[in-house]
Order: sequence, then C-alpha cells, then structure tokens
Amino acid sequence: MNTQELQQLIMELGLDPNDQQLQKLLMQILESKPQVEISQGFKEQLRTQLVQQTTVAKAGATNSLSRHAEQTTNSSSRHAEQTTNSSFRHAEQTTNSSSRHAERSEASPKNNLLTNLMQKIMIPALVAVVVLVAGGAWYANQQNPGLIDFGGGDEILSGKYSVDQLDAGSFGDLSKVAIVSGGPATGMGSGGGTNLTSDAQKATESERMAIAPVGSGGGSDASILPYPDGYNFMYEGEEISGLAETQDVLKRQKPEQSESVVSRIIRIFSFGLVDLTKFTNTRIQSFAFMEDKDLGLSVNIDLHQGNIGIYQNWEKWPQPQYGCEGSYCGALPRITESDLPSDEEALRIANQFVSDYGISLEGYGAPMVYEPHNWRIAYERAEDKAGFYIPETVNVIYPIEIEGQRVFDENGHPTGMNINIDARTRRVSTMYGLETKQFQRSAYQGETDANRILGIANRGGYRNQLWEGTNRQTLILETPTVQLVRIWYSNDPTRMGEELYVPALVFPIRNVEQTNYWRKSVVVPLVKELLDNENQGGGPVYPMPMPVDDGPMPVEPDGGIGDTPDAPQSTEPSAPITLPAPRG
Amino acid sequence: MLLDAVTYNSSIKTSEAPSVSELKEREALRALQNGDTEKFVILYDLYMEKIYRYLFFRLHHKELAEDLTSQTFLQAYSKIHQYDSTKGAFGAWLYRVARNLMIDEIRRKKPTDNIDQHFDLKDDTNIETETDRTLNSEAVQKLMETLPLDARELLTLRLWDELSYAEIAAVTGKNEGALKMQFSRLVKKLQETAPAILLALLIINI
Repeated sequence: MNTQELQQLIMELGLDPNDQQLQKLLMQILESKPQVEISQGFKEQLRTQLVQQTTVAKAGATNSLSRHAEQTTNSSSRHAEQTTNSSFRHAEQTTNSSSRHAERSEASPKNNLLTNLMQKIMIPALVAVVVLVAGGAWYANQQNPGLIDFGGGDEILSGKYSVDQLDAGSFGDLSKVAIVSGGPATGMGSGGGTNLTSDAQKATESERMAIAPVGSGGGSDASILPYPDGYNFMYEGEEISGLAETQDVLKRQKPEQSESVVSRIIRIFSFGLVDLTKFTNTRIQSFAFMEDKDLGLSVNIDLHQGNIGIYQNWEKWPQPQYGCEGSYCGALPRITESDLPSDEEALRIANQFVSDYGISLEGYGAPMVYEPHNWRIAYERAEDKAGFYIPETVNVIYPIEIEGQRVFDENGHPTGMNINIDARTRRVSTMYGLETKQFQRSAYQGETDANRILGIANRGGYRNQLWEGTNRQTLILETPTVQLVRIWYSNDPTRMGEELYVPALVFPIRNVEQTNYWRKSVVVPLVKELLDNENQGGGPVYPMPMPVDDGPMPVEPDGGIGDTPDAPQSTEPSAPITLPAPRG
Repeated sequence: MLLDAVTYNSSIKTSEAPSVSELKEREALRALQNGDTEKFVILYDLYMEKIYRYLFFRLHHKELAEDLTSQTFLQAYSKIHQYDSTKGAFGAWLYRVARNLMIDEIRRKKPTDNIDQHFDLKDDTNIETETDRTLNSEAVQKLMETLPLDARELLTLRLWDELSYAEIAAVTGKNEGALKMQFSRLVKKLQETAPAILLALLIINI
C-alpha cells in the first residue's frame, strides 16, 4: 500500500488524509507486516499436484463422455451462453450432456487459441482436414508404417508464461550485436489488415516527426498545427538514483517444432503436383484459414515466430473505399466521431472477443483504448470537421506485462496484443500481437550513471536521432518508471532477429498533447552493453561496394541507405553504413 | 525517486474495464462450469500467494501455513461445485475455506479452549517455539496485542491482506457497513492510544 492508497483509506474512514501522525501510525503497522517468503518449491509442488488432479478428473470426464457420446444431445450452445452466475456442478458431474466437450477432449492442446479456433471457427474445415489427414495417414502408413504419430500432443503455441534462468551474459555481448529496427510483424499474415501496431519502429523519425491526420481523405487540416522541424527534450522530473548494478534481460524463445505431428503432416500432402516427401527436415512455417461467410475472419498462425493474427476476410466485409482511387468515393457514408464506439463499448467488445475465442491473457495487462497516432488532436483543431477523415477502427491494446512491468517498444508505446474494433459493424476486424511467452532470463551489467541515462533521455531516448532545425518544440520529460523495452537484435545476419525484453526507464512526455509529437514517452534501456552498442543504427556492418561517386551517401534514420538527398543529418555519432537489417 | 514504481500515468486513455486478473478469474470459472477442470490451476495461480500470506500472517509458521494452503486449494477444488457466484466472489469463498481450515486446526490442537483466544496461534500454542518470524516491529506487535481479537483480525485483513470491506464481510460473515464503522473507530482509538503505548514500549526496550 503506497502513500496515496493509504490516504485514500484514511479518507474512506472520514478522517483527515493529511494527518501526518495518523499516516505515520498506519504506515508503522503496514511496515510491520511479517515478511513472507513463499517457497517456490512448495508452490510448484502444490501446483503440480493440482494439475495432476484436474487432469485426472478431466480424463475421467472424457472417458465418460466418450461412452455416452451417442446418447448426448447437442447442448453446446446452452453451455456457451451460461454465465458464472449460477452454482457450479461438481467437476465429475460435468460428464453429462456436452458433445462439445467430447470434441474438445480429442484435441490434446489445452487453453490455447488454436484449439479454440478449431472448435469455434473450423469445425466444418476440421472435418475435411480429418478426412484428408486420415486418408493421408492411411496412405503413408501403407508406405511407411509408423510414420504418422498423432499422439504427440505438444503445445507449439502455448499460452503459458514461463522463464528459464540462464547464466549471466548468456545472450552474448550486447555491445557488439546489431540492434535491429523493429521486428517481424506479430501475427500479420496473408489476411492483410492495417498495421496500427505500437511497434512503430519501422517508421523513420522523419516520417513521424509529427502526427498527421490519418488516412488520405480530403479536408485534412494538418496546416492548423505548426509543424516543427525538430524537438528538444528536457527532463524536469525527480532526481534519479538507486540504479541497479545488474539487470535481468529476458529473451523470448521462438517455438520449437520437433518431429511431431505438425511437421509430419506435410508428408501426407503429396497430390501429384510435387512430391513433398522429398523435402527434408521440414517444419511448418505458418498456415492460414478463413471463414467463408459474411463478416468472416481469416486466421494466420505463424509457428516459426510463435504468434497468431486474426483479420477480417476482406472479401466478406464491406469496403468503403473499394474501387476508389486516391480519395474517398462515397460508396459508404463517411463515419463521424459519434459513430465510433465509446471506450467502454470497445473494451467490452474486445473482452468478449478474447473470451469467445479463448485467447490466453497470461502475460497481458488490463486492456485500454490506445491510439499511437492520436488523430483527435488534429480533429479537435480542424475547422472542417465534416471533411476530416476519421479512422474506421478503435484500437484496444492488451499491453504485455511481465512480473508487474509493462513492455514498451523503443518508441515509448506500450506493446502487446492489439484488437481493432470496426466502427461500422461493432465487430473485431483485426487482432495481432498475440505471441507465445516463453522466455530465458540472463543477468547483465546495469548502467548506474544517472547522468548518462538523462543525457540519452534528453536526446529523445535510445537510438533516437535528433534533427537540426530552427522551428523546434520542447518536450518535457517527467519522472520515469522502470518498465521493459522490447528490442530486436541479431548476431547472425542470415537468421531472424532475436527479441529481448530489457529493463528500461520510461519517461512520460508531459506536454505531448500540446504538440504534434507522435510518441508519448521516451525510453532508455538500463543495460550498459546496449547503451555501449556500436551497431545501433541497423543491421550488422558489411563492407560496402566502392561507390562510383565519392560523395556522401545519405543515411536514413533507421540505418538504411536511401536516396533522399535532403535527408537531415543526425547529431548522433555517425552510424555505420549498413545493409537493411534482416527481418524474420 | 521510487524506481520500483510500476504505475504508468500518461495520456493513455483508460476506463473502468475489468482487470486482467478479473478476466482470468471469470474465464477460469466459466471453463470450470463447463467441465474444464484444468482451469482450476488459473485460480490457484491467482490466489495461492494471497491465501498463503493470509494464513502466515495469522499463524507465523511456515510449515503450517503451507499445509493449510495445500488443504485450502485441494478442498476448494473438490468442493468447487458448492461455490455459488451469486452469493459472493470466488476470492472471498476461498478465504472462508482457508479460515475454516485454520480454525479447525486450532481446535484440533486446543480442543477445550475458546477459539477466539487462539485465533493467532503465535501467542500460546506449542507452535510458538517453532515460529519462523515475528512482526517486523516488536512495538507494533505489542500494540496489536492490546487490541480485541476481532479488531486485530479486521486490522490485518484490511491493512496486510488489503481486502476490501466487502471482501472482509464475505470472509467473516459480518456486515460491510458495520465493519467500516468498526475500522474507523479502531483507527481513531489507535490514534489516541498508540503514541503513548509505543513510547512506553520504546522506553522499556531502552
């Protein structure tokens, strides 16, 4: 209980919350709370015991269900509609009356989105797949008995959060690796969808120097706001002290596919066009399916990166700009601000979606409506509001929170699972950023020099590049909190980037709403090697072919090479000329 | 500055949405209702530490707190069908299971005594010699010993376990409004008497 909560407690009692003596007394009682150290061994042991019991109970229920499957009636819809506002039946009493349970019991993965999608979207498709797989299995077994083993049951995309502890410095010398701009799109698959992700690393600073009205619709009033050609950052928070000498860094582990059912399935799909069995050491990279119905969804499952994305099936949704070029064509009336769902409604719709599809929220914090690019600022100042293009979706983010710390991207936006609510249909049109959360943890030397931290913050944060300009705005940084920042790095240019979650100070920008600045906070990692890193500008350094012209080659803010002759020069130490960073 | 602060207050728009813990709890309860017994582990993850702390604060004995924590969850699982969400939150129900088990344990050890006298086992049972830890402040410990037992329980439930009045009411079976009034009076009384008691204890210790 902190001071604020304590004052709230006192106020609830009708007493003076500013009574120092009372505060001190209650604080003394609070501080005398016995120290509790819960044995992790005990905790895990009891958990295991419960898991065993619940699994046995479920298996018992499953067997019973199988025996009575033919006698049951289809009451799945009734089950789905039931809420928790009724008494529970005993676990063992649940063995009656649910064919859905029988179906579920045949799918070994538990508590993961894939299973739920299979149940709720793909039932018809599943039947077809089962027929195909069964036929293929039969065929394969004729050729090579024992090749197909459907008893694997490994969860490739588990929803569980876990951390494996490694020795210090296990992720290599972070001062030498190549820090990659952005990472692979999380769950962005063939289904398309607009990437409103907070992982905005892909944008260059010059592209996002200011918030421009979203979309290409006419009537934008960007000119209302004066566009600065640069920003200053000024820290006005409390003194920073007590920086830890070591910091635990997390690395997300990508899913591993063994020679299990998912990788072997490919061998049975050999239809004559090509003999797929000739490929060796095969893994499923990703797969996708769609709902072939009005307002249907398409789903992309990336088994390589360990994420899932759900998008509108474009062919089955109304497209307001279909067939138009450039500007709005008026096929559907332009939406207005009042057409947008309220925050409460958006959160309700998102939560319902999460619940309906059994999306695991392990490792995610409370959802919030969050728009990285706040169009409302420009909208409020626009003279022609009717002509202003308002985004057709509202974004709800479930920020990743690991052990109480929120995860941000390098640009200071919370990062996590995003759910877009379509304003016209009040339905979820996009979900992306749902990832597995199996980590490794390793200790690194922390940066304890507060002046160095503040120096980076006053440059706009880690890997930020300042621009020279005369029309500059000053952004005020407030006292930071310790959170985590997600950073991609690569030790090997031939392979995809690795993903680190690094303790960092997150400085909220106090006056961001009064400016056009597109970020809401500034981030500085607390790991010394990352601050010392010499390859912050992009991918690893390669020898470049000798240019024909000896003139300077412009370097884009993300470290890539561009052809923009008027690209402003960085005030950071000159970045090495690099090839574009590998992206997974 | 407090570097361990985790609150992030910026221009991010938030609203009164259910917390993730609440969502998880609802999800688990709904799944349990549909026979997915494995989801009970989610409830364990949400409440294990709270229940352990609740027991430890009152027993001051690690092994006993562990034993009763185990019993609490095993019993809660086996009796989950008895939980009725219309009668209160799952958390309160779980605390009641833990509290009843604790009382049973005390009765088992001291069958002839009034249970109220032994709500805090640390005082005078044979477990006292095995006590792992005492309160961080001996003075506060003495101060709390001057309180009636129900007041002590209310104080610890509100301040240490950080339960709301509604939750305390569900755990203890008392009226929420009455509890709030009792707590208010208790704090006022402490405000008047505590400085003198604490000072006296300080002098004695010197």
